[in-house]
Amino acid sequence: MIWNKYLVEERKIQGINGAAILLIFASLYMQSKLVLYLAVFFLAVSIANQLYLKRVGEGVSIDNIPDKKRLFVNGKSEWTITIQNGGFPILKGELKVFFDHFVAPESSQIESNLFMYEISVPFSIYTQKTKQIWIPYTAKMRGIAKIRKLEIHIPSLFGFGETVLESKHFLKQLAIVYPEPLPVKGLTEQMSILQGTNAVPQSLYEDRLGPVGTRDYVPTDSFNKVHWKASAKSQTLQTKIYETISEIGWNIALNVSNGHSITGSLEKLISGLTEFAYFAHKRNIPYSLCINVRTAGNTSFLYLAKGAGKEHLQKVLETLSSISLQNTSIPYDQMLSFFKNHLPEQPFFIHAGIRKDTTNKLLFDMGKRGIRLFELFIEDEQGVLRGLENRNERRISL
Amino acid sequence: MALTEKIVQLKNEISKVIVGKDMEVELMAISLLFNGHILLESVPGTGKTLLAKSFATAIGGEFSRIQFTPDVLPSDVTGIQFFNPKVQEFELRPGPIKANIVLADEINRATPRTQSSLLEVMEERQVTIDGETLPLPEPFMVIATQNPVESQQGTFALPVAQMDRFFIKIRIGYPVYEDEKRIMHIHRGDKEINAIEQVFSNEEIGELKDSIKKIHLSSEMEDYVLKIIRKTRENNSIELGVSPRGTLALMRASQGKALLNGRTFVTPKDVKQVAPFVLSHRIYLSIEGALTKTPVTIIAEILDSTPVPVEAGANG
Repeated sequence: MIWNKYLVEERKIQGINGAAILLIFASLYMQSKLVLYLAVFFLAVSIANQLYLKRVGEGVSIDNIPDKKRLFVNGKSEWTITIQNGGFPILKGELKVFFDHFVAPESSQIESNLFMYEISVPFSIYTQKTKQIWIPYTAKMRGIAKIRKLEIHIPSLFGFGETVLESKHFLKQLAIVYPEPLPVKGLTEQMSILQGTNAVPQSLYEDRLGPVGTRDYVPTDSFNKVHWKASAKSQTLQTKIYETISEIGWNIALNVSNGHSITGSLEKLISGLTEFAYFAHKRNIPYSLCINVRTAGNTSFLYLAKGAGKEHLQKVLETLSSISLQNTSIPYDQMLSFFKNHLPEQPFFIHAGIRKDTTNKLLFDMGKRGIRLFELFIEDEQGVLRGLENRNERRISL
Repeated sequence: MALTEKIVQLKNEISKVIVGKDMEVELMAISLLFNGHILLESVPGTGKTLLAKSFATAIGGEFSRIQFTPDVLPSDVTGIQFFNPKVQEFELRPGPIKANIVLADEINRATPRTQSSLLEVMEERQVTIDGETLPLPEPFMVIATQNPVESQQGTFALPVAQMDRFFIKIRIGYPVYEDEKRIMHIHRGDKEINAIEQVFSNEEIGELKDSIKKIHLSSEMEDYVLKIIRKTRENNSIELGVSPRGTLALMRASQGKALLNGRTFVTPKDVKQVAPFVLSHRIYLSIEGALTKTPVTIIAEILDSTPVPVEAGANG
């Protein structure tokens, strides 16, 4: 482990050095061995003190094992810090840990400062020993908390000065605090009229590749639906039964920006989308998510491909947890046009966040291709989902 | 030759092509003793298929492989009845499932309907094709592989009923530094899987199955196993706990571990060593549980919180 090392010397040690020199002269003048021994003792203390401060911390390392804790708000967990000491013993040392305010230490005395908590833990460790320190915490708000800085304060064994070790790298421990869901009015399962591959209870389309059974033939059945093998076996005409299929799925897009800054209703919108995620999971609806936060990946914004199930829910909640006010956004319209041209579309598109006239144009273009548009907005501290309609669209009445 | 020597020989044979998988081979040997099916799960390129093929070669018997893809149909697995115009009769043609060791490669790429075709095969050790039932040969074992990473793209999660039919689920992680170096050395040449020699004959496997029945499980150990199982059914993070089939699997796997360790009785350590492999795939987590923990961590918590019977092995 690479440390930044600082030595904090006390002025007293200079006094001791001066006193030792004076005592040496005094011992020579007084011809006193006792005074000489005293001077040598003072000098030995001073040298040992300097040597200890200079060398202590060499061989001190902290296990940096990746560990991801996932929590709901008010969930409890702990940071685990394992210190190994291969150098001089450390007595009455102090470990200072600085971490993000999304999780709070158990002690009610400690207050956060500039979005960070600072906590001090006293410890002692001898040579060639390992010590584990646990710092319990409680999840307080949505976000990803990391240990941003570690400091080890090692006081001199002789009581004069201290050595400070400061970690240069982040610890690979994370605490992901999931967002809390916000009830959304009007959130219901929608039926699609598009052909797809997902088995649904009712649809206009059938999966002709996989018959799921047979039934007795009735005269209105089409001839190519006859199951000849089953008919030959049962000696009566049998008709194939197919599964009804349709396209199901949502595209969810979140606009985090408001002009050049991040929208003030970010937390509420994220909570609304969290409700969507739980709703879709319960009904096994696959969905994709795009957020106009700049990333360095293949797509220049946060994008989660269509998926369903617990693993997808986990990814979505982790992505929503990762959004912060420090993020850089990209223009929402740029994201929408990339989405329109390059990413797979679903039968339903849900927009969340601020919507400009140029955004409307892009959205209504999608609507013309058969995609049903919805908008999530916040009203009276709760989410509302409503259909988006192009009021300027000319309709022909017959 | 003693069992332990045979197991060492099995490990040696497999280590000709696969390095650092002693624990995995041991677990596979335990499964073999009970005709238990194995699910190998890992990220791509860690040697799942090679391990399965090497194991199948080392234990001999008829081997068949089904490469699962979304267009594989149930009849491609079980077999078909086709109409033979020469004799004017339906003829039965069993599928690749009729073998001693069946490698179901990338099982989660098959559709749920095709996956379900293995349900009867795995539990009843028989296959029904168009109403006609055929028994499967002895020993019969399905070794399935799946990749957990692509769980969203063109794959279908195995149903709970099928997961329960797997005796053991083994996660093959990345090799440690030294093992990976050895892998580099081994694969400089052209090591072929054919280089693996058969270690067990069918008769020897039969003898081993007889010897496992002599492994004693004391009353205290039975209670210990049941306490662990009960806790999986009462845990808040778990929606579906371990089934009675899972209880039997844990008991048997512990007996197998004791036998491989050269003992005639089961100790709590045996149970603790095999429990994560036997139980973690048999529990179905609640949403809250799945979002914050993994099945392996929950099983580890349960094992840590269950008091171990003191000197249970000695009593037995």
